[in-house]
Amino acid sequence: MAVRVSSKNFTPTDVVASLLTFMSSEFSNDPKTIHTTIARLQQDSKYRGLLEEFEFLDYHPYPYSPLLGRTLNRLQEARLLSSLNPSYEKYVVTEASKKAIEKQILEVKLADQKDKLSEIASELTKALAHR
Amino acid sequence: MTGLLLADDIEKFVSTLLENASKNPSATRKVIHDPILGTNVFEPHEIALIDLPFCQRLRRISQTDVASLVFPSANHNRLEHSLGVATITGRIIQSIQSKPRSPKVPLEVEIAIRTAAILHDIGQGPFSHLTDSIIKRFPEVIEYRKKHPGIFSEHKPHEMLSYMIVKDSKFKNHYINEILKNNNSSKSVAEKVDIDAIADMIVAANQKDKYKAWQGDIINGPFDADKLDYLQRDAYFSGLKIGIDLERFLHSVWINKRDKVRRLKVMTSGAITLEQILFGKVLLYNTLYQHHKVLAAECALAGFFEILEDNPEVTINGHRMDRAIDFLSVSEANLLSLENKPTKIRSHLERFLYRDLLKRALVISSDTVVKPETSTGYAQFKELSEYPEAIKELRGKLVDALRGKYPIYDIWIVLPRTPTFSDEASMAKIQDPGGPIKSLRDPFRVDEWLTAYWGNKWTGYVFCPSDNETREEVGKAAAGVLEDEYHFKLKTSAFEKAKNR
Repeated sequence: MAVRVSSKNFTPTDVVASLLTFMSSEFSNDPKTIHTTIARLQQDSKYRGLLEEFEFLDYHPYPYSPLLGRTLNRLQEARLLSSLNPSYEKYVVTEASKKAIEKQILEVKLADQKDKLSEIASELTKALAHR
Repeated sequence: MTGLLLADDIEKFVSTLLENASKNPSATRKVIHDPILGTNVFEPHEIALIDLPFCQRLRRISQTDVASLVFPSANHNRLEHSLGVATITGRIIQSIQSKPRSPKVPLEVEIAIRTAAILHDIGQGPFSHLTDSIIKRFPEVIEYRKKHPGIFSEHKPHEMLSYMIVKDSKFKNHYINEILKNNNSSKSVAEKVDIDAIADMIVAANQKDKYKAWQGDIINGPFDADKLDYLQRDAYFSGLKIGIDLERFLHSVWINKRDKVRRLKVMTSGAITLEQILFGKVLLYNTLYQHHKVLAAECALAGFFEILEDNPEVTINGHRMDRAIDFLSVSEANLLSLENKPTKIRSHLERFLYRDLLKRALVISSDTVVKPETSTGYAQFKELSEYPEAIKELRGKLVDALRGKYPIYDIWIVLPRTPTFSDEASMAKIQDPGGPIKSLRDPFRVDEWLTAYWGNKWTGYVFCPSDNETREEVGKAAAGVLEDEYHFKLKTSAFEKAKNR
């Protein structure tokens, strides 16, 4: 069993990876919208437990969480997420990656949070569509 | 433990160092030569400031911690860097002043910004960023940071300590009454210098201030004088080639006095220099800061600090090294000295001093992991870079798997931290006079390109003692622990790249 890194059963990587399972296989890579939406949803007590690790800097041009930025980068480094060359305007998550995340993270660590994760993903999808 | 205690420690530190400072210091304007920035003039009040023990101790702090064990000429220090930052800061201000649409910079503001440049690293401990990672775990530092989340949430400990030293009332009093008033030809200008603003610039705490945000940008911003100096200096002294066109940057840097919040920006013609800064950063991370041998040398020294932590009866010059203040109070020479140290510490230090470094037992990257795109455990493992204590726990499991044959101080799992580029690329602003404001990432997502590049370069390691038998044994055990704990498998290339087969 992996070493425990926090008092919670899940980590920021678990949360962001699980969100990917509810997103479409291609979605806009727009940091401003992604960070702003997560910052807004973090204020909702319903989602706070899932998102509270992300601390947002208020002096940035938009609410920006360095941890969320690093988490998205790490998911790319780990090949679970990719950004399409040459414009890098879209994120891509393959069906194989989604299935792996669902089986290895979502069902194991966040099964009781599925509804909330789905709602957060839905909000993200809407925000990215209207950007 | 409370934040007040850290402030108390800083107060004591400032008092101790000021005991060694001369009263009524009277300095003269001096020329200081630099291999990168040429011949530079420092004003009397700057010379008096540089002469203070706070700055002089920076002579004995390596700019690139232990990189000189791998790049033998990388022996430059934090004082050289701080003087370089002050010089570049002065040139940025001169350049801004030459632009008709930029606001005029009063002399007292110029003095304050250059002073912030000189002082920005006075909170550094021995071996720079290496001890930053130790200091950040001390309870009094965590507590102080928690109490000031708006200012220090993402800052490195040394930035926080530099800020606290400058904010200390005795330091402020000495700076204003001894340094400035004795060494500035215009007393009225000296009286206008805002020392609190100097501290704010060091941690960029003035980001929302319409008139002052650009000042923090010069010292701690997306393309600040700090980066412009350390990227060139670290490359030069390590013998690596990167290209940053400082003259072109200076030609295009400006502030728009009509902006709601005045920020440092460059004109379109200078955008290439911002890209050079980001490219330079990623190249130096790859070839210098995260070179596998540099990481191995850092592990050896980190092992020394762990031995100290596990043997609290051992002190360095009377310091137990369990508080941030201890790291400001000892030098690198004190730490590396073999005198008065117990045998177990001496033997560990001797190996470090004679460069008997740890070697790779395992190389972990997206190239050496089997099917990373479906191995979520690999992403979870990489996340440990956020949690140093968890990495230590995992090292303990590896030591157990090796049945305690090797001490934990010699077994390391290293997950280099991923630099982010989108923050800098979003914050870096480009505008031509009369034109729209764009961020660096608007025309092309240079940050995403760099993230993709970095994703292919990122490499983690397991290090162990250098003999081939040990490396093979530790490599196999480590692969087993990672599979058990994180459920990902490694290819044979993980061993081959470590050259232990």
